[in-house]
Amino acid sequence: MTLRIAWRNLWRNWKRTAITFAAVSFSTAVLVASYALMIGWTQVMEKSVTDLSVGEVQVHHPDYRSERSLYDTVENPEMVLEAAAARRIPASARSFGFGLLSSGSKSAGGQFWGVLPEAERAVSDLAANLLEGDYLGPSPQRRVVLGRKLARSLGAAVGTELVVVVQAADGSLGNDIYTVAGILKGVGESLDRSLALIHRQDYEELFVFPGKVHEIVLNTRGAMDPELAAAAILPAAGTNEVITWRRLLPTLAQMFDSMIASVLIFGAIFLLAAGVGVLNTMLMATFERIPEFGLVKAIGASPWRILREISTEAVILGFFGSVAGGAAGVLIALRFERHPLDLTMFVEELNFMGIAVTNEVPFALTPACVWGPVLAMWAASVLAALWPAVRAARMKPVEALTHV
Amino acid sequence: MIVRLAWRSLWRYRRRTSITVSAIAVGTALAVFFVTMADGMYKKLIDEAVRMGAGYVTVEHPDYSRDLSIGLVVTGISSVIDEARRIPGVTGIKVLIQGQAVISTAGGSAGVGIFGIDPETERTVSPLADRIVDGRYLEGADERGVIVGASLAERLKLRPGKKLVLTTNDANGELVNEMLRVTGIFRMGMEEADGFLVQVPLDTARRIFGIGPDAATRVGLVLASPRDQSRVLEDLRRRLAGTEAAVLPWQAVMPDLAGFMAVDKGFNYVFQMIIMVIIGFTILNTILMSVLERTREFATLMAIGTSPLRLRLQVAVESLFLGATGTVLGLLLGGALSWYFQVHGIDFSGIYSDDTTIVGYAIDPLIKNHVTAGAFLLVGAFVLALTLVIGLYPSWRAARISLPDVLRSR
Amino acid sequence: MKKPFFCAALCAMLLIGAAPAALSADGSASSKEILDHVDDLFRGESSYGTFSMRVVTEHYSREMKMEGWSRGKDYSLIRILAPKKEKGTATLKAGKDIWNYLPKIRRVIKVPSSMMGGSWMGSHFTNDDLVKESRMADDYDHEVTFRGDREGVRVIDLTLMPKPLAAVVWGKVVVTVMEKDFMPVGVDYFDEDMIMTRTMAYSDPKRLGGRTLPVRMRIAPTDKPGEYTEILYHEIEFDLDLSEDIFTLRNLQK
Repeated sequence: MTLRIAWRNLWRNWKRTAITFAAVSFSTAVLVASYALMIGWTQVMEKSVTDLSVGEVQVHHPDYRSERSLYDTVENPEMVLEAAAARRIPASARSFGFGLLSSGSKSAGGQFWGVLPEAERAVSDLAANLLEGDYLGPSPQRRVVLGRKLARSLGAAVGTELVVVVQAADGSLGNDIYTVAGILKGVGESLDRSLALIHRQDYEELFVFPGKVHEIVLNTRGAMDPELAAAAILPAAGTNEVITWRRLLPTLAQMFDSMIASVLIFGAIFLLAAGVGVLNTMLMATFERIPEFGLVKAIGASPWRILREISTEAVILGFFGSVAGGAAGVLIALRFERHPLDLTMFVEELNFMGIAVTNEVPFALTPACVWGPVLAMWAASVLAALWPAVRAARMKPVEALTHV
Repeated sequence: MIVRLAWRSLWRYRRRTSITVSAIAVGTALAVFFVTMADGMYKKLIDEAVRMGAGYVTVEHPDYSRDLSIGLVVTGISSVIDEARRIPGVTGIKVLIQGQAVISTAGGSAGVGIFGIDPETERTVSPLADRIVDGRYLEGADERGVIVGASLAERLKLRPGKKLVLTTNDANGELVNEMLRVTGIFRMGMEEADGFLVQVPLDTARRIFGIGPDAATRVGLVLASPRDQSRVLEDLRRRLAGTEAAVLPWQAVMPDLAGFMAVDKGFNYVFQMIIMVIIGFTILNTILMSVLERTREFATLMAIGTSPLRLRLQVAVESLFLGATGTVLGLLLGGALSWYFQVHGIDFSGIYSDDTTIVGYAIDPLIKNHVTAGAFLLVGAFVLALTLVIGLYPSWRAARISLPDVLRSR
Repeated sequence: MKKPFFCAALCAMLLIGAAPAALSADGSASSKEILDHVDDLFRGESSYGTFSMRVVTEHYSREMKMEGWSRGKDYSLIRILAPKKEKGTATLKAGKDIWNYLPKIRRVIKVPSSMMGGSWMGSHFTNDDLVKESRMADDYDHEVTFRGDREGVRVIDLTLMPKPLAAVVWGKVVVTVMEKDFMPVGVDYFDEDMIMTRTMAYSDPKRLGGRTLPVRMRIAPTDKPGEYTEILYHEIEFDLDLSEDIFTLRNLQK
């Protein structure tokens, strides 16, 4: 009965209903889509840290990070790699070594990374961030991929022959001629300045250091919590140190956390703004109707009945508004989940090329992104109607009729 | 006359007026708060890096960015400094000499990046001077003083008072050796700085690298607000036109950070747009609703002989009052809120996971708003324009009412 | 790093100086005279010699046989004779610069200043040690701090304190010589906390190239027990007539 009256009332003044409905649904839709964007954004941020080169978890000799000694190698790397493979965690073993690269009269020190190109591709996006040239091939060919600034200080381009001299593990002067296969985009200051990526087998020959690795990098690309991934391989790690990227790069992790914090504040501000919008519209709509309620009361309706009617209207309106808005928001979010939002148009032109930056932010829709705003906006619309409703219910009919 | 009528009408429907004004005010306040907070975060993220490095606007040799050679210096820096000083908004001018070297101690040796700096300027401008964990920061009189990072100090077993030998090639390519003594050790929390950077007084760097007194690798301008950057950049470029010096924004000097911040800024633009859309829609709705409710009132006014033009004008003036009052109130409210958080900051240390706070010196967990006139202008202009445009609709509608229809209905 | 003696000790042919001054052994020699004597012991107008170098570290040990030439104080050339794998690898020093010749790839590489602190041929010597040789008397204040019996031998200790502005990493250097003929016995290097960080020991005095020299030298870092680099001279000739052509990049590649 109340439901029917409420329904009829909504239709009777369809313009007012339409405006209120629009307010509720619009706010809900914008909230759902923005929350999906915010979550997508934090994911992009985290990936920009882990997927470029760091990975989610690293395994080292316990002294390697402090001493950086060539001889502090991972103990039983095969066992760690097997444990990762058993859990389907992509892993790549890296061997490091310092050396001199030179081309003509120019020379510069570089940090060599001996990797298996395919395994490395699975854990890091270095291969996807080439400024020019190609990535390493599957077999050792004495080819090297250089960091941007290292290439620049050597005056090297793709195809340039470089003389490489290193202090090999047996004390001899390891030396060879390498060809530049590719040059990376900007991937961070230290890599730009020093990275020389070579095939593992080439490394073993150059450094006379067969079978030794300094770092094993694991990266599930978000499929697994880094702490869980670390725990999964810990039994196989022996005396090695297993460390997540958050512990490895605490400053970056903190910066990242403060970004999440700011996104939370953004979310709260959005909720507030949208809530105020719904609240105001509903308040206005209900207050304007106080004379009408006075009339109903004058013909004998009880205060309870008025309260019930108004709140039922608000519940219905709020429900349809927020659900419709939620649905629209989901559609928007899904559209941008498939075709990421391209920020390029909002970013001023960068005149310097060669920086590895993702301009694309895919939305990430989670259930909380949907039901949170839907419930909140529904609640806001009902609450906003209750206050004037209570006032109307308590007024004397004459007062209400002349109420402006 | 119309103004008075409009004024009286607003006061007569006090509740409707207050709801509309509050919608505009709260929306404006939230937008101001949002924009100042985003500015504050942006400032916080880049400000440290920029202040530690070469300022928001940097003057260097045109070829320096391509070939980071110690021989490529800006000459005539005293006139560069004079010109820069005349530009409003410039709060600090850094003179830098940057080079590479190897430092050795009895405990080992390591490659480092040397910054020759003016200790007095650096003290007021750079965050590094506040991050001394052992010893003290450089002073102008420290002819052989050097500041090293904590992890470098650990590797080379250095403490304040200990000596090190610095080896490098000077501007002429000659090998030079110089004995220096550690005056202080800093910890920024970034390995790139703590394990790689050393600072020496400017004159010491000049002596080591053989650089004249009126030359430097870079002159950096520190600004009061990042929003001034393009204006200062243009101004300085104009002033230095014809000289052998490149005037660059920090984005060109630190492309890594710039790339990162560009994306962050793009994201911020999107969010600023969304928040404007939300409050715009709220204002639209509120005003639409009030017009809807007032159809009857307009009809009555017209029935007693008010001309359509007068009615339109009156409603437009009402909208102007509403918009102006709401915007001003909102700016005041938002400004006060933002100012409070600019002073006190929003503490988010609670959300950090425990393991990251072990090294709790790294990042200040406070997010502080950054209140600028620009933020007020941006939000104020947008909201006011929006209310006026939206306000035109009811005034247009008010005069197009069919009297009998309205008076008969309801 | 500046290590007085390293270079002189490493290859006699690297440096020139006056022939060792004849010192009276009656105890009247000043600390400066003794230091100059030690500095000049391995120097000549020019020289040629063969020697072997044995390097023992925690991670590898290796033994090489080398030959070397020197002319004036600015030029020297050292070439590896054995082992076979590294035969032909050569180092040329000209003034402050060092080049390495790598026979495997037939290239000459100049060692940049950033690599001067790196190990030379895997030994405990750095590239720097080859280049930077100063006379100890210039960089240090010195005095005789001990004169008497030690393990049954009459020795003299000279304590060298770096001059305030000298570009020297050490806190103190102690040079020990025999009292009777000022033959060097050992050099101890201390850091600024006066903790010994490395030692140099001389032994096996022999008559070579017309001089009496300790032909065996061993350098050992104190913080890495068991590690050392030892050089043993097989032959040395001083004051030969060596052509300038020997010390060219072209000759380096032979």
